[in-house]
Amino acid sequence: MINDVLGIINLGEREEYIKELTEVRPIAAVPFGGRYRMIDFTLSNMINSGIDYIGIVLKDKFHSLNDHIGPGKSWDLDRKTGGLRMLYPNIEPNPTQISVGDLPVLRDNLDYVVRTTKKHILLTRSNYIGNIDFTKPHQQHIETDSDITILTRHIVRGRNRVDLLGLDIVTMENGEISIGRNLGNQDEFDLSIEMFFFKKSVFMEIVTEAIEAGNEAYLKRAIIDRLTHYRVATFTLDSDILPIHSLQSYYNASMQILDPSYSDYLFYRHGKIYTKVKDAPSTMYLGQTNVNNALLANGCIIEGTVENSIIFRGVRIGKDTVVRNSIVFQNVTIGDNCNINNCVFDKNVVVGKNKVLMGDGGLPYVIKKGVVVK
Amino acid sequence: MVKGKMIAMILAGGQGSRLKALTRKNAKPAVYFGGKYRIIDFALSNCANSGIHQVGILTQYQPLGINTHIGIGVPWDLDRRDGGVEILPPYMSSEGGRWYDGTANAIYENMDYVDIRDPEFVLILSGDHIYKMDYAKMLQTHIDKGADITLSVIEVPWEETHRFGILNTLPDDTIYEFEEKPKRAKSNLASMGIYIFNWKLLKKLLVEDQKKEDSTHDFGKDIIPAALELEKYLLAYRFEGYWKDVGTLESYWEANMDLIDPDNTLDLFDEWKIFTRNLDVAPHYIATTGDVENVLVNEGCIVKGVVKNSILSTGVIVEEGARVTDSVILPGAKIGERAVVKKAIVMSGAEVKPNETVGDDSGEITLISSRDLGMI
Repeated sequence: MINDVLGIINLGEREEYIKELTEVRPIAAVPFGGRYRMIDFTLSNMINSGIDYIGIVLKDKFHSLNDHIGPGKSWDLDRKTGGLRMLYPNIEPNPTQISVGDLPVLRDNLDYVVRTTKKHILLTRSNYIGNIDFTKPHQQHIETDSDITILTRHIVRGRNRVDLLGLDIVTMENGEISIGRNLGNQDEFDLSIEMFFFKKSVFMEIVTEAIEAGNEAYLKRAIIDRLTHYRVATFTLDSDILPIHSLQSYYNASMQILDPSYSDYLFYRHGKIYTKVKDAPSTMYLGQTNVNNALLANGCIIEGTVENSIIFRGVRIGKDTVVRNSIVFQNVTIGDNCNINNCVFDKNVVVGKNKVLMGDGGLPYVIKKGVVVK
Repeated sequence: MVKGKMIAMILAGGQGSRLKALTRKNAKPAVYFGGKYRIIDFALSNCANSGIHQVGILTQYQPLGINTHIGIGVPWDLDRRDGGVEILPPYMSSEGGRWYDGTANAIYENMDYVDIRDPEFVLILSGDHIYKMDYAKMLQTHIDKGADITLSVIEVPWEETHRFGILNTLPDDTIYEFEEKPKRAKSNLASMGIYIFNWKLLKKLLVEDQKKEDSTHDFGKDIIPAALELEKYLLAYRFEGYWKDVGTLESYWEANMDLIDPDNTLDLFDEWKIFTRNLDVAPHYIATTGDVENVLVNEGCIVKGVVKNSILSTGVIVEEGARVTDSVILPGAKIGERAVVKKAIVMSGAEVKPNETVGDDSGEITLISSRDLGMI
């Protein structure tokens, strides 16, 4: 059980690669796994490891995340001491000056970090999906008295893997650890999952220095540039982590949880994944349904065929309708006699009768939030 | 609902012995129902949806399930600064300790609890009925008509009147007589065990009733007749809609099956939500070998077999080759490979072994019990 760590979930990072789903929400609030949002995984991993003092660095598009997290009750984070804190950016006095990067937000909220009595900081993002036990890397971080511990995942046969292209990798040169980009030209490497343990003093130093220098906008850049100043270690996680940074990797990761052994790991291994409670009844299968290899949340009424798909809460699928290889978000209604393949339906989409919607396994077709297909 | 005007007292201490092993470790209100609920969720959610924010729950028999389920009432938004939900078990006093002896006695023993809240009206509820009802409307009728006591009633088929407490009324729904399980009924209006009392009157009735040595201290058998004797204004409030007392294995099974009947009038999917404690499990998974037809499936289930006309509660596992029909499978139960389950209730934590056959076509309900407490 960890008791000396402040968790910071940084949502101020770039997220231009998954535009289709992040137009209306930060990537942290993108639905994943039938009833969750991306941030639920990191948040629950922290809770399950004993970290209950957590700040979420926000940059923009707060609404859907606020709606999802509220006072943090679902994660048991509505506490008198500690608990959850949303770290908003200050509103600029001159609204034409839109600040770039996450460092300005951290600057605006530095007091929150200063005031905590916690000795260490766990910095994470929300777009690496896994069921992670933070107690082991934490233990190593303490025992080795490291300034920074970078959490990694060892990859074999990583050459030309499109889903890992452009992600951060950790390299060791002349005894010094550095972080670079995966160009797809190596078979084996250590992927940085952009989660770090810091001594609080080190974290503060990096942030304040970077802000004072003023030549950097993003915290990650500031960390990478200063690695040589500190005692840095890595910790290789044995959990399977799914990096989600593009529509394709989102779609593939979603399909991977249809593997029962994977979903058993992801949803339960080191503790449950918590999410906002919706109080929907169980899902109803009416009449001659045909459901194969599908993950369905509560509150759905299914009358048709569902194959290789993930169905979120409160979805209606009509009679004689076939939904294959698709991801259907909350409260979507698909009418009778439709044929759907390789689609991602964002929330509240309504599809009428006799519609045919097709994407491709390599390029799923995204139907935007609230669209009505008559 | 005016704040504090009416509080609810839910009677949840009954054993419900006709539910057999289902209530060996759990009081009847805590028995699982409808895939994700416990029976008491209906009365509690009705309170929450009706705007009643002060609820006392009277427990006695096997309270562990109820206590852990209700906690501080978060799922029903009843974790309030003032009032909220409170569990009221029997207690010791300077005159010694005693168990609740009858439904009226349970309220009598908690008169202090009600007095502190100082309500004008008290709503008495049973924790073991399945229905959706707006108590605020019932209270409005009670106030508008200036009644002393309002009883919610439902029309039952004439041939079943002998199973209920029957209320005989005048054309304006004034109650003039109460008959407990009459052989030859004059009316088919059955009491639903839902009462609104003016608190001052109820308090008087409870104190009087406590003095009577021959009283069973029961609302239906003693308090209502006593009020009629005092010529109080008792009003029948007619309820239309789904209502079921799940007192026996048969009615419990039927009420579950009603949920998968397309013509069922109890709509779990409507705006009047039924709240329950969330178990935070993953969505359910239906494998390629799995098949579901007319089934209610809750989160956490893994279905690799064939399931028809059944209810699968939280975290049920149906292995490959298994066939489940007309059955209610309670949380965490496991149906082994190639097992056959017909018209059965499989209790929480129970396991039907591979290749085993459970239940038959005789029409009787088979109960597969489990020694442990099951999922809490």
